[in-house]
Amino acid sequence: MATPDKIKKAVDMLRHADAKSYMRDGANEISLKMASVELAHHGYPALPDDYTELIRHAYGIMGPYFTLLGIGGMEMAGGGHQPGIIETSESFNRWNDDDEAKTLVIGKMSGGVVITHKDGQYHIVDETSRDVFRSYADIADFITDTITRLDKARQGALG
Amino acid sequence: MADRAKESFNTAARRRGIIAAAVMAVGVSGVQADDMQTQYQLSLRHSGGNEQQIIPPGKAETISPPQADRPSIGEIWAKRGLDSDKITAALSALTADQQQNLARSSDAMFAQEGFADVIRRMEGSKQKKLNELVQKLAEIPDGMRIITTNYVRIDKEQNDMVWREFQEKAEPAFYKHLAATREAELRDAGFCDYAIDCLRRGLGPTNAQGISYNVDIDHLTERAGGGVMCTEKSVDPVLGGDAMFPINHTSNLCLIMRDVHVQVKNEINALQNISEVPHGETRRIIMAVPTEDKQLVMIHSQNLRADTQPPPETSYFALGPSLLLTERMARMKDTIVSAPADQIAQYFNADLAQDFNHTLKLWETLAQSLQTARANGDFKARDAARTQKNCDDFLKPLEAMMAETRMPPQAIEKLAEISTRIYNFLDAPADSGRAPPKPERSLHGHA
Repeated sequence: MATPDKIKKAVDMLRHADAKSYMRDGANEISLKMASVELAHHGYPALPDDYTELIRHAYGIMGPYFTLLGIGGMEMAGGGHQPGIIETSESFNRWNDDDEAKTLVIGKMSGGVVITHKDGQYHIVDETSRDVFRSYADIADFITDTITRLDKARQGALG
Repeated sequence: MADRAKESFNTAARRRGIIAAAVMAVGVSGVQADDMQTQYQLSLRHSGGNEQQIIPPGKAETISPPQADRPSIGEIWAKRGLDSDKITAALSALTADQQQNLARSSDAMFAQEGFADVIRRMEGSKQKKLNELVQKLAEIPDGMRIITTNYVRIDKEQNDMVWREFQEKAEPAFYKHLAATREAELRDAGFCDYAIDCLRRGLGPTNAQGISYNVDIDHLTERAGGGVMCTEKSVDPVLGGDAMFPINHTSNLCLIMRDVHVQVKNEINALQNISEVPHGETRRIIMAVPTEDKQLVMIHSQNLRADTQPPPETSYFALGPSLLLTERMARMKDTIVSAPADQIAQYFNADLAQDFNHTLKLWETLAQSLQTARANGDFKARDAARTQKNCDDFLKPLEAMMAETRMPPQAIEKLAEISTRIYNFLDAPADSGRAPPKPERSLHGHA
């Protein structure tokens, strides 16, 4: 699991990345407590500790690299609505068998890919085929790896 | 400048009561990597799309009544051999409007190779799933149409490789291509200067604060089911440059409203269990794709309803969201009982404000429709009674719960103001008698 320092560094990297992302204010204690209540109510496990640490810094992130969700939705430019973790997860799990454990979806990426948390890891999952592309032990690694990869690719393409 | 553009977009959208939606399927190229792409591209070239006109729910009264000589949807599907109990039940579960929509578009759907077989295969699914698929087919939004295609499942490693190529090469190139070729359309759809600049830089469109627009890039032929389009690279005929998998070529990408992507296209895919197709195997599937005119404008039915639905119907839209909010606040009572007001307000803004504002709009819509009905003298006592019951059962408990959980006073006041207006309209004499008095009810006594 990522330490608070590692999370802070990842957040700083995103804040100063080449492409700008929108980062909401950090969640307060009520939001954190209610996140657990709401997730349990809908049959999901609690948020992982490192993700909780992340949302203390930014309770919802959206931008060109990825979207990381909070419990509540986020307003998008032009008036659209980005649903929060529970709504997005419910949509992902909608056609599961009744006895199948629900998967927690904490974010999404372009190209129809979602970020899930299951069995102690973050997984990059193709939403349609459910193929798991890769997994990360913690959210900070996901953030830094994705920014590095996409900036490098884009700069290469521009060059 | 960017803020002004965004505000201008928002204002215009509200005024027109539509969401300006952009689907830019850039010109179909001549690449024919395999049978599936050929069929899809041919269908784009030769079809005028489903000749259906989807009428939003709020416009039900504008649909022509069924004609005696026009076969029912059950008869149309039965002629194609789709007359099992399950299918009949799914068709019967549709509203009259949906049945008419589906009847109008069925010929075009059955013209797609294997369409009936896909539906027959769905008979093996749960009734609920079949119902949902049939309902989706009956509600294909204007600007989209149904085709069938072969879903040729590629293996996981290949799928990952294709996705990475998409993110790292195709997506930036596609955005730059849109900026270069479709700027005017994108501006018309509401993209601000900053968003256009993002596209020029190969980035997903955001406003100056970094907030994303409600759009996705969709692979028209599904990335995980593209067969040889995902395995044999070639040069994109539109963009040139390094060879890429044809699934990531410009001709297979489409900037699409996220709502349409998720609620129509992906949902139709999910209902067919395509994630269960084994790697390397092929299955015929039904797919929603944009029509060849490539630009989609979605009607925002919620806004239209205010003008077209009489008050009892208008109130129904607010019931579910109100109940969910009320129950959510009930669950948080213990947590916030001793919390400072500023922290509660912060929580409200972070977690509840989006849903609350949406719910507020729905009640506001009811207030407006009541006003219109009163002004037109078209409001019966029975309608008033039904509307009032909905308000007593859902609006009042929400107001009470907001006060009990010490939600921000401004939010409580906004809801109270709309509530007062609604009850004032309800309390005025109706056409044939006075609305009944408001009973006191608790949340758990109804719904």
